[in-house]
Amino acid sequence: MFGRILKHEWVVLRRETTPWVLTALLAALVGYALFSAARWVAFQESAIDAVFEEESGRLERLRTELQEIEAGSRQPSRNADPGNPEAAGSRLAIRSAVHPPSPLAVLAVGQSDLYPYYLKVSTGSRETILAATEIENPDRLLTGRFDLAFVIVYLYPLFVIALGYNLISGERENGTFSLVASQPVPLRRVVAAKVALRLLLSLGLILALSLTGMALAGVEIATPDSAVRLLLWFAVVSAYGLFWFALAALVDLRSRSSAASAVVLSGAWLLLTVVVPSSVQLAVSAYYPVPSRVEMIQATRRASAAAATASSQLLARYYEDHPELVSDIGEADLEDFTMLAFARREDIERQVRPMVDEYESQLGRQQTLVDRLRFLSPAIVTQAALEDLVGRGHRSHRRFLAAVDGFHRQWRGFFAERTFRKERLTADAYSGIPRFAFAAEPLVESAGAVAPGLGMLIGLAALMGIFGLRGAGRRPFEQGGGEEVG
Amino acid sequence: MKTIRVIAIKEVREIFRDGRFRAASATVLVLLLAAFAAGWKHQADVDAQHRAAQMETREQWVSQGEKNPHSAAHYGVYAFLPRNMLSMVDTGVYPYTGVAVWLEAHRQNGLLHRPAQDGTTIQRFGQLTAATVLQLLIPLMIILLAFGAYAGERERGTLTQLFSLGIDRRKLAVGKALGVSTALAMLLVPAAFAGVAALMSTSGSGELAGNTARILAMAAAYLLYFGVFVALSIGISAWTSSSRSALLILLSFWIANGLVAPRLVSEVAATVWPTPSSVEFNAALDADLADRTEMDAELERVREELLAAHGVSDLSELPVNFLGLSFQAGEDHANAVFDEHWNGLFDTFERQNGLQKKLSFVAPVLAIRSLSMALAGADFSHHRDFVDAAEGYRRDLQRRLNAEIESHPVAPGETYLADAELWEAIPTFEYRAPGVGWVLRNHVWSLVVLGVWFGVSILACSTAARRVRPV
Repeated sequence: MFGRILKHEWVVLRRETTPWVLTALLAALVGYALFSAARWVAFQESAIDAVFEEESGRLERLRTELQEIEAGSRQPSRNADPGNPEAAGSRLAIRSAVHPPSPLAVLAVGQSDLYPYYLKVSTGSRETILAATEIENPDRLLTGRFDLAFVIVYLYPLFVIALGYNLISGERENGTFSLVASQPVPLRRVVAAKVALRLLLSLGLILALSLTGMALAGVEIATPDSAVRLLLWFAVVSAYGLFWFALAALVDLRSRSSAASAVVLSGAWLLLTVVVPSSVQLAVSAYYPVPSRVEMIQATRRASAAAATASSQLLARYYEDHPELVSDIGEADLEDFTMLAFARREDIERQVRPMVDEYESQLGRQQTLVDRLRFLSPAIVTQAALEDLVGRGHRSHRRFLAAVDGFHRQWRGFFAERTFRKERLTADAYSGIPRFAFAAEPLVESAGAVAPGLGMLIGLAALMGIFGLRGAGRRPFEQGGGEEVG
Repeated sequence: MKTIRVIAIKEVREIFRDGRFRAASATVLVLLLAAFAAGWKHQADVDAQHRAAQMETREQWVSQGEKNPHSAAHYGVYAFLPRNMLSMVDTGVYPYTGVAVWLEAHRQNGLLHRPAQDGTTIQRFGQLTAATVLQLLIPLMIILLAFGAYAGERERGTLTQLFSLGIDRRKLAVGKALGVSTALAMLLVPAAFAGVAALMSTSGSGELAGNTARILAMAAAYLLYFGVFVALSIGISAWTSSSRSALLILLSFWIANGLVAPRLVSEVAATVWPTPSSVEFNAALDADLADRTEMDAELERVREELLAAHGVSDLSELPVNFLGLSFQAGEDHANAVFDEHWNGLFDTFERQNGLQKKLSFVAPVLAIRSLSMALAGADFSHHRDFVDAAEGYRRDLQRRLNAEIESHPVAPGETYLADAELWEAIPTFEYRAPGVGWVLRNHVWSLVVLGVWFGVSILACSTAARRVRPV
């Protein structure tokens, strides 16, 4: 029976113009979003290639130079000596930490345009390293990208509303409602069939287009990790679509006319995708204001001035903190410039640390609040899930920053050890210079992050579905006309 | 005139009778006031922090102690981006540009610390500002108020009655537009008063007076923008056969205008004028900086000339310190390179924004968006103006310090040390944002686009109103 209703609905839907126009429009939007995200991924990849190319070329030149110095055929330059661990670690031999786009990155630009994806790591201060950014027109950052996540979070619900705002009220206005109601089929089954058909059609369209687009963009989904992520991604999209269809059916079953249900549904859309998220953002930044970073700049400057006047004590203090570095050379050389540089940097960082911690814990508090408030809007939940599944969101960036932090410590340790042992870097030692490797979030963790939101979407859709369909059984013969609203 | 008034009063009364309108306008008013309040608080905090920092950086500069001027040049100063008080209405690109730039020897730096990088997961949804409410939510309210203006009356059959009275169709349209505008004004006027009161309390009357022209221009631009929506909504309502299709057409327009157009046009602009990656930009910049052959030759020529002019054979015998000349030659060489590269980059951004401005005839929101940002002193052109001013200050600072080195010859092995007297003689960095005339000159096109949209929608509205069929 259900199948027959579906088939009948399909026949009716096929003969209308609106669904075709909407389908073509959705197809065009999805296609363009994928195209534009694929270009962004290609841009990022070529920038990363350029980073690596520059880096390996530079390190190779330094190694050759060092070999020549070791062979005695060349004099080391005074301030750019590749054998000097301080010079090498702070300027000459620095390497970049790279956050490469994940295999499924075309599915969302997310926040990847906002966050740096390669950072030059040196023995310099952590804050300087993290302050680097990718060049971008601020106007474009403000506007945001036209990516698939945008199409799904903002535009897909509007298509759902356009397909579902007159499921029943449309029949009433066309005068066909009595015909439908006089059939020996419960109205709820008719509504369910109408929703099911539209849901399947729109999801099928998104899936088909995404897969085609990804194939055209040359994305490999061969690994089980990517395949599962893609499945989860699709589950989130489906749950989001289901939520909006359930809402549309619920509203339409209860409204006087199709125009009235269009007003209510577009109001709900505005509230959930625009008003609630931006108000949450406003509330979070008002509740936990993050001071302007200028205070940190000033604190760093004060600390540098203080460190400059207390140089010799600093080195003594540094040795207290790093006794392992003293033993090798016996008498500590309190005037050595390169050692002082290390001691001074650590001292400045020690002084600025409380402020940095304050920033970070304030941001942490903001994020915790956002994590709680995100359940106020399916749009927030969906956006976060779509970004997290493909490693393009805040979560992945935090992970990258944590990894950079670790790498920075390792880097410093490597060069500090050689500086304090007064050990020159050899050409062979160059191959031992630490390298950064980014490990993407394990699938289990991503899935864990996405699960509550997915559960919420499905739960809400189910609740509304049950509630709406129950109402549908109750007042089957009520006739409405094209009543005025407004 | 009386007819128009009667119609307008009837429209307003009907609008206010509707519970949905009361709920919607209360929501919008609350959002608008919340956005104002948050914007006001944030603006006041940030502005105070930046002022304090600017004073402190000067204090540090003056009290840096005895130093060689070149060490002082390396120490440098910071320039902190001041925020226009109107950014409480529209934060524009402030969250996406840095907040401070380090002005040091040898290098033009970019601005540090984009506030948006200190964001959370929902960063991308954007923060609610008064500008969001004015650009997106108010037009939607207008649509909801006006889509039934004609279509609704037709469906109830009251339009036939009205026409049978021999009513002037033009007066009917004006009356309806006036009714919608009055209802809207009841929402916007209190909000505007609250906004001005907030502006007055944040800042001295001097700053407010300096921004009066900007405030008035902004108000006029937004009124024009709302006018487009009022006229379009009433026109579409008169033109379509049912209130349902009027609503659907207007909603589609609203979505295309507010949601799709900005992102789409931004993508197009970036495709036509691609932004380089920072690795590419820096590699090109560094390559040009490293190419010093021309500069070295020039410096060598100056050296020979100086030695010959003073009839000495060694630089240390000169009455000037050659080091100062050499530093300045380095600066001059680098400045030419910076000009080429940074200006090239900023020109690319300006071209992207210019193309967006040109394409703004596809959607009025593009015009009002760039106008509003610009009048709030928060668009890219203002940013660039600040960057140029800071860089100008840096170059002047370097020139003064190098001249100081040049005029103090020292014996070999010795270093000249300057003290607070020199540091205090260097002027403080003071930045004044350009006036409203500059902004409007930059945005003639946006104004034209808004004007054209307004004119065309009035025309469309009056045509539709003249031809409206009662059944």
